[in-house]
Amino acid sequence: MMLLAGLVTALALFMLSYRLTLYRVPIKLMEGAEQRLLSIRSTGPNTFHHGRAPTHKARQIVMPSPDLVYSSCVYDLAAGDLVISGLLPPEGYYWSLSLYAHNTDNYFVLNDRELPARSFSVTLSLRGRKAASIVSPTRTGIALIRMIQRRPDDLPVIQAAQQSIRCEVVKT
Amino acid sequence: MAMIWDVVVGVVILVVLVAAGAIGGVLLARHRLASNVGDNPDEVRIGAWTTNTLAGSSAANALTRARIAIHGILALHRQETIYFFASQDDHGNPLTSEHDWEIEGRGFDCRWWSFTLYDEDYQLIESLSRRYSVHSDNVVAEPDGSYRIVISRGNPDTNWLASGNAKRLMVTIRLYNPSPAVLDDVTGVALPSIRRIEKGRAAA
Repeated sequence: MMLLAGLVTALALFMLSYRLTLYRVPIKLMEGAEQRLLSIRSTGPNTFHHGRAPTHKARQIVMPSPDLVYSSCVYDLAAGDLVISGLLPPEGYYWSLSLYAHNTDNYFVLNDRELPARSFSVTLSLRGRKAASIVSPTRTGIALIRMIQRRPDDLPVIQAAQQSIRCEVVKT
Repeated sequence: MAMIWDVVVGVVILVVLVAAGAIGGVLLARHRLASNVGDNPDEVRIGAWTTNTLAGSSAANALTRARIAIHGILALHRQETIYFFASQDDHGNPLTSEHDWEIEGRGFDCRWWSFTLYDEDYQLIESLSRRYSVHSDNVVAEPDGSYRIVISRGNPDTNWLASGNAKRLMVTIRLYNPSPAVLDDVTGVALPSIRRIEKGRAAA
């Protein structure tokens, strides 16, 4: 009887520890990614950092795309909603804003094809707050803006779009 | 005395079983997470290539979410970008920088596409040329639209991905803004072949 109870318990623990490990891995790695992104800037969360197209020296994030220029922001909605806005590069340049929850889920994407006016403004909020256009599943996460750099001389156009990005906390 | 001994043995067995169960679950998870593909219903295998149809999605299973976090964190969901991975050639040979390889195929039904080569740590590979990717803007295609991309250490002066001194290689295809047809049936995407070639044959 004790042996049977032991086997059942062991099986239950096997499944539980397997599921728990899978559940914890994305959260731990996202925390690491957030810390690494925060460490390359000194202003804390809710501020965009504008990078260049990654080379072999960029090892903060796995599988970087060498053809993309990234602007990244670790967000924290503790202080209020977040309004992210800016201008897009001219037509022909792929552009997207993607939002990632604390468990790595890519819960929102907006790309240039959806923005014929070549500008954007989104409000990010937690569930239950007013005037939210996008609800973040978690208090913290990462906002990533990607732009394809087709040629080296595209950089000034891309940098102009990067410099236009604003990220403001709206007190709730 | 015999009864006490039985109880002690029983408790020891119970403790061993419980510990084995808990540790076994962690070990199985770690084993399955060591690879970015395999034994996952979210994945689709097409020849040497694998794609995960729920990468980045909130609907992904726990294994997909954990694998993407390890091997491709901050991936876009499939409506925005579809990723295909290959770590072996068409015959199952693991891709390494010890050999040269060629990829032959045609373009894709999407807005923009790229081939990128990564090392065993899923990072870009150091090379003097900084030739990290071949994409729809810089590929040199034949008049019929086909192309040939060479993976090698040296520069063969063609569509080329530098393999440097990486122990293991992984090729990633990205399809940005895939067409509705591709989104409807990812198994219908005509993916390129990957073959090993003799060293030095690259420029042929």
